Amino acid sequence: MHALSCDDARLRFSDLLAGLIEPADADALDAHLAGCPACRAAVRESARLDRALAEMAALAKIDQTKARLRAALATVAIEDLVPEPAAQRRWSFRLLRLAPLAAAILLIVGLVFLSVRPAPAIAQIAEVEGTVTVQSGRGQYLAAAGHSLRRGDRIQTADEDGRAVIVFPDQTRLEVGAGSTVNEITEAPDGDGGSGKRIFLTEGSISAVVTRQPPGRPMLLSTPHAQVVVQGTKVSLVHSSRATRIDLDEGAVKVTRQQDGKSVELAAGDYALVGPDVPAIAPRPMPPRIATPRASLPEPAGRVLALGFAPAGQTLAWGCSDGSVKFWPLPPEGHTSPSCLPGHMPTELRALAFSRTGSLLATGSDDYLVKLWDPATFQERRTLKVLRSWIEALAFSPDDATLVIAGAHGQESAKVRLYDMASEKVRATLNAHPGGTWAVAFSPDGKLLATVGRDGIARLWDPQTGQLLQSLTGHSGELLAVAFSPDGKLLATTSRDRTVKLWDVATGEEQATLIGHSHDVRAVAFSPDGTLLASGSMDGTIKLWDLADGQERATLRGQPGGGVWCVAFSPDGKTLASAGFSRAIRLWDVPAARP
Amino acid sequence: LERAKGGDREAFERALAPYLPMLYAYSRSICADHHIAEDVVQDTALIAYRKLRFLFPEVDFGTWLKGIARRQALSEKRKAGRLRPVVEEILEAVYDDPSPTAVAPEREALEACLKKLKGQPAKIVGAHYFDGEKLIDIARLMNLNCNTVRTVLHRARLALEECVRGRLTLGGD
Repeated sequence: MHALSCDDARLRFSDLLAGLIEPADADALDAHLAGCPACRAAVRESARLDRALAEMAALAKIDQTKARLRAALATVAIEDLVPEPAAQRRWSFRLLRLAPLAAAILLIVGLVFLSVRPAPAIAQIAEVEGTVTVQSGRGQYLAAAGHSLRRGDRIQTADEDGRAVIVFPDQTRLEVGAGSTVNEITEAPDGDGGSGKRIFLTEGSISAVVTRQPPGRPMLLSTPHAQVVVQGTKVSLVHSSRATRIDLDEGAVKVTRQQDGKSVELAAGDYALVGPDVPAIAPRPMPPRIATPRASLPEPAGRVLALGFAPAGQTLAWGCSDGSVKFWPLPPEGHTSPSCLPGHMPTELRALAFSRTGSLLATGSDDYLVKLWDPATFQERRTLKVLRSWIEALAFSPDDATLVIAGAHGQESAKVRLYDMASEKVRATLNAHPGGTWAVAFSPDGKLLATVGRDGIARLWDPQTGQLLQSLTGHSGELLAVAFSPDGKLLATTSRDRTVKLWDVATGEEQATLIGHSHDVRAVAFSPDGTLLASGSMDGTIKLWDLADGQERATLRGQPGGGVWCVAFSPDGKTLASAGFSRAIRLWDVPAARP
Repeated sequence: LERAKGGDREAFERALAPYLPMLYAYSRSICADHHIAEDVVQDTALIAYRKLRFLFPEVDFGTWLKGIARRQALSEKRKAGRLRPVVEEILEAVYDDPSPTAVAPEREALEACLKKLKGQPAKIVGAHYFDGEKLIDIARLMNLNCNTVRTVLHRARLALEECVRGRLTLGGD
């Protein structure tokens, strides 16, 4: 059939792609294409353009798609916990066949039901974000707003995005943060030991706004380390295996150490740490919370997992989830948009490092590639494919002779390559961390290389020989970030155990554990003068720690609505840049170490 | 992928991410509907995650994902009518390479070509491809006859094809 011209065929194919074609026209189009090779070629070209357009459209909203899929995938494991309807039907069928036995069982169940009253609801779930599960005597189910909670129910929020708000009849409000487990919610009846509401937090964080409780029936917030007696107040608890931290915004509470019963009173504006790593239980003044950055640079492409200042401080560079690298001249005022280098495939750019001289920028992505750029001309200099892994971390040695390349997924994720910049060859390979390496750092003198990864151990290597010098153990979770102090004497590591640890590089001994974040600590950086340490967490905050006494100096409410994935001090130490899951890079004025 | 097979959800998400644009474009070309295509992509992701242990090492991940999307998309398509064999053959040829970079040159050329598109054609291409609007809804929104929208879209597509061809063969326009 040649009744159609090729132009007509293309128009009908265009209709077909738009869902507008009638069945008869679709048949006519197909018949025509079957007999006309030229039209087939033309239509094929149209289909290829359609693919390119649709892929562009998908890339434009790839972050929303990923977020939607993440939420959908999170339900897979939980669905598996629910009995399949088919199985229930089979049981129903069997029960019908065993009618007399079923009747007897029903009679007994009925009698038991009449004699035992169901536990009354003591609170209600008012809000749910992400995946939240409730384990009760009736089984495990996905929580939704409006669900009632009964005595002994256990609540778990998903690691990345889970959050639940629980409201009691007296309007006491409890917010359970991401990655938390509230093991028990109870309300003792009147006269039972004098206590009222009891909450037991075994992991993560809760924030409570507690309405004034009846006299003699205070609310008890407990963790394995501490018990907090609350009458009416605004309090938050963060618990990890190392310690519990109690921050008090309003009112007064009594905090008791579970281990020995020692207690302390906290007043509004105080915080206290309780745990095996904290020798004395004492109230301390809460550091200031800073909510507004000096500048906020929009990043429409989505989340940012790597950023860095050029050594001279004239440029801030970051990697985007669309695989591009962006440069923003500093100071940001007066510039409307950054220069953008579409470098990698549309995969997340997770690693970025400037050479010490600033003449090169290295970027690494999930496409297994490391690209070297000239930051002055925005030209790509070289592409390296030396590690079959998604590239997670990059670092130049202080003399710029070596580039360290590490990854955390893929066939060679356990390996770390030392790439010689002069000979353009891999000089050595370290078998660093089974499962993958998340971060690497050179000591300022270039004599040590630190790596951290999935095995929860920090390792120090001789970068010249590739020899392992020390393994530092002490964290109770994967290690996520690492940094040397400017004088090279301290090493900071961060972990999924919600803490930052400081190590003496010379002896390998642990110097301090910095406790305060309520989620994974993803990023760490020393200020150039060595007085402050910045840590960024998936709890959405950045904390600044004074290295003289290990005390927290300020909390920057960094990335509302998302975790902080990377932080960097400007070379002059006056600015801290942060980025993560929210669509912005934030620049903060760095407060003095000692106010 | 090995980690994903072991149940590491994050690893699976990262392995899947580069293929999402292809899966969406492929599903949309079969189903001719933005919203159905999005559902097909989600179903494909869920099925792939559950069946990951059946992905054998010799099979390309993209081809495997495309196979799942194909079954899902054809099942959706059947609700509205079947896909004709020659058209199906053409679509399969276009998606024969499921890798994320298969039409990267065309995408790059399109970036420039789309900027040259102005006025009504630009609005219609944007609304249809980037906002996922049906032509009938675009006609209503723009106070136009549906036939006009259809013709403008077709002509815009021809213009884009020519522009892309020019950029790819001559290295510019």
